[in-house]
Amino acid sequence: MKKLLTLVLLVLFNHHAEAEAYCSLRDPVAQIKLLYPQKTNQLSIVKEVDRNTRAQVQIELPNNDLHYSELGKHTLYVAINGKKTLGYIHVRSEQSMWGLVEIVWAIDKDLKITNFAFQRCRSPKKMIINEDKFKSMIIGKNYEQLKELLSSDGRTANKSLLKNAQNAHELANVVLMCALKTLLITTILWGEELKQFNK
Amino acid sequence: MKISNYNQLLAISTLISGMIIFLALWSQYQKVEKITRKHYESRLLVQTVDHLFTMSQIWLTTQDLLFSGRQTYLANGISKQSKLLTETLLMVKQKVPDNTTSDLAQELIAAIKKNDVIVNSFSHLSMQNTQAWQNTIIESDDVTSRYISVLNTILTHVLLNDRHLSNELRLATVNFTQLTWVVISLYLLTVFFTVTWFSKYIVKPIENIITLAQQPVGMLTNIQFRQANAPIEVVALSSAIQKFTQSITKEKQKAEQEGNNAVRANEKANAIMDTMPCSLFLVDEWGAIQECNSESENLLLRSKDKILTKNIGEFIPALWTLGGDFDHETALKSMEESLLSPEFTAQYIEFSGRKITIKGAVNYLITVIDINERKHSQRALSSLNEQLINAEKLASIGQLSAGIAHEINNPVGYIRCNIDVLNEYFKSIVAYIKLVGAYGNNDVAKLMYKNEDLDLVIKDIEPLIGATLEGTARISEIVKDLGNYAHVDKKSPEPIVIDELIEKSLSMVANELKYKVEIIKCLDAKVEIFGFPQKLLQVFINMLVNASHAIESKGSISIYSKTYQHEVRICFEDNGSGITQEHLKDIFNPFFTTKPVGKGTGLGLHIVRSIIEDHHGRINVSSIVGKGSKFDIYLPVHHTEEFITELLCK
Repeated sequence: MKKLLTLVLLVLFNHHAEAEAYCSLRDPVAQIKLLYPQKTNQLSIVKEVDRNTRAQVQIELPNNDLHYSELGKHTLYVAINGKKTLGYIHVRSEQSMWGLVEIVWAIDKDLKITNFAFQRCRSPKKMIINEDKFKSMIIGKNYEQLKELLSSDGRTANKSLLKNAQNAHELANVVLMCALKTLLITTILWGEELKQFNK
Repeated sequence: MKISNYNQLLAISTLISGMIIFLALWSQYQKVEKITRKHYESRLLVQTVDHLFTMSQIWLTTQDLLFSGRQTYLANGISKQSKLLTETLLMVKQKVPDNTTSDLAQELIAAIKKNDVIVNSFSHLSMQNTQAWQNTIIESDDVTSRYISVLNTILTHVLLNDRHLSNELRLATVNFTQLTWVVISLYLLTVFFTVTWFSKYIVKPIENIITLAQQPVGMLTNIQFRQANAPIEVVALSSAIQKFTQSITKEKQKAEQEGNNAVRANEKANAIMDTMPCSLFLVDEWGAIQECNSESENLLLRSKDKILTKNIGEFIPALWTLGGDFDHETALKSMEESLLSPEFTAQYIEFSGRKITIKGAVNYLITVIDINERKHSQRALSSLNEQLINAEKLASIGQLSAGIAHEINNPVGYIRCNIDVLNEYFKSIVAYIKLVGAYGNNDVAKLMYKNEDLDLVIKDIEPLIGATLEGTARISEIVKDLGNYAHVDKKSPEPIVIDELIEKSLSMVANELKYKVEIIKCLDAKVEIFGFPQKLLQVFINMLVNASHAIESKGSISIYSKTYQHEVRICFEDNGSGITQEHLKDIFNPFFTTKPVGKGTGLGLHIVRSIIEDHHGRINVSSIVGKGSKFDIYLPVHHTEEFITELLCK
């Protein structure tokens, strides 16, 4: 009952939350359908990234703290097939060489990356990142596993990842950092709520 | 070929090869320089494109700010950035090397314009019109994605071009370096071969000549200096050396022969020098003794090494000037008599010198003769001469002795008579005195006085005594004159009144002359001379006795004396038998006489001339047979100290 109430509340505030979130899907229905073809419905849970969240991120990823401009309300989408939770969708923006890159992340219930797609990316090298060779290095990994792909500086990817992203190292670094922040913030902000979907 | 031709060839080839090397290197360097310039421009272009990248990133980030925050006021700034990007792209467009890239730059400029239109459209959108925002962003992203893609393409082109130029530059630099090394290697190789060739063809023959020339001198005769395989000059040089060596060999043999001759001559000269009975000294122009013979050691009583380098003046003071320098002028004189330094006991020497030039240096060869023995002989001779003179004098005394005896006998005779008379007178006077004293009877005494004619006796005593005294005085005078004549002169000359001396000679020979000779004299010399009076007296007596002997029965002798300026002339002229012309030339020779044996010694006139010459005088004679002879004696009046000293020595 409590779970149902929460879902209702989420649906009721869905439109409002979408309007205020910076990192959000442009066409949520279509894009979630693209990542979760079996979904029948989706939920969106809006949470605010505040200074406290930023401080936690700063502790976890010392060299990849959040910009102050990122503080504010963010939306996590939950893809649902009937009563079954298929997974989560989160969109994050990351500064790159050619401006902001917006990546749509598909996350399973175990908080592992199941897929990702560029919602915005001006770099022509996104083609390299979109190749399976690179994607396979990201997909299926949780936060800890992804963290192992970081090099010692804590900001860039290690060689094992970069060798799969020839001539697109900068964009590969952006993707990895974006994935880590996405999983970390999802856990920090939405962890409690998501536990209910995992039951 | 001559070395000079080789040099010319070498110079020309060096010049040409240098020009080729220079042109090759210059050409390659120009190429490198051109590529370097292009590469530099390319680097600038790459930097410009990099700058364009950065500008574009900022431009796109600003757009994202606009898109995310929907801050439409950023559109103006984005527009300004677009303008800057456009300007930069125009510049890139001008600098890109190919048209494709230029077209891409142009495409970027068009994209920027298109994006500017899109961005400007935001200012017309409402912040709530989310879909419109999203659509416009998508539209802009399409343009800017294409923009980035093209920009990457341009960067790729520029980098490729830069890499190409970099490769070209590297290649050109490598080529230039290789060319340089090749040229240097070729040059060194050429130098090596040239040096080797020079060494083999030019230096080696010269070294051969040098090696051969350094052979011992004795082997030079058989050495072949001629070099066949060499430049013309070296061949000529080797031939010249060959000839020169042969010439030297001949000259050497000749020199050795001459050297041997010189050694023999030197030995002969040394033998002559050492056997010479006089001392020889070779002195330099300062008087230092350079060489001397063995006789010099005997003379100076010391070994040769203690004589050499000493100044000759130390041994012969006459060769020193008052200032203590070597007296060149005296060294060239012939000094018949000189002295060694006081340290020597046998001091008398005679020396003479000649100037000789040895190897351009003035030297003096001084001959010194020890005349101590001669000096001793001279003294002995002088003593002998003196004895001879005295003997002659005694002989003349002998000749005069009869006359002198007569002169003495005459007064002795009347002295004896006078004394006999006086003795008689003395007896009478004694008897009278006794008579008067014993008897005191005056009568007897008076008788006796009267008988004995004592008045006459007393009157006659005084004249008798006077005559006796006069006779004794006369004898005394004759004896004195004879004694004086026989007396030997003092050692030192003394003043002589010539006229008085003539008078004395006349008195000496008066008895010899008075019976047959009339003396005519005119003595007007009135002068004193310095000399030895007894010797001159002997001269005058000899003149008078000779004149007397020339007069057989009766004749005259004229004696004149007169002073003429610096000399006094004494003339003895007789009118005797005279002397034949044949005998005139011999009359002063010793032992020449025309008198019978036992009448004359033949030394009289010889001694006369000797005495006169000792007085620095001279004697002339003229004679006519049957008419008489005339002897003119000239004696100097004014005597110098030198003359007196010389007289003293004699």
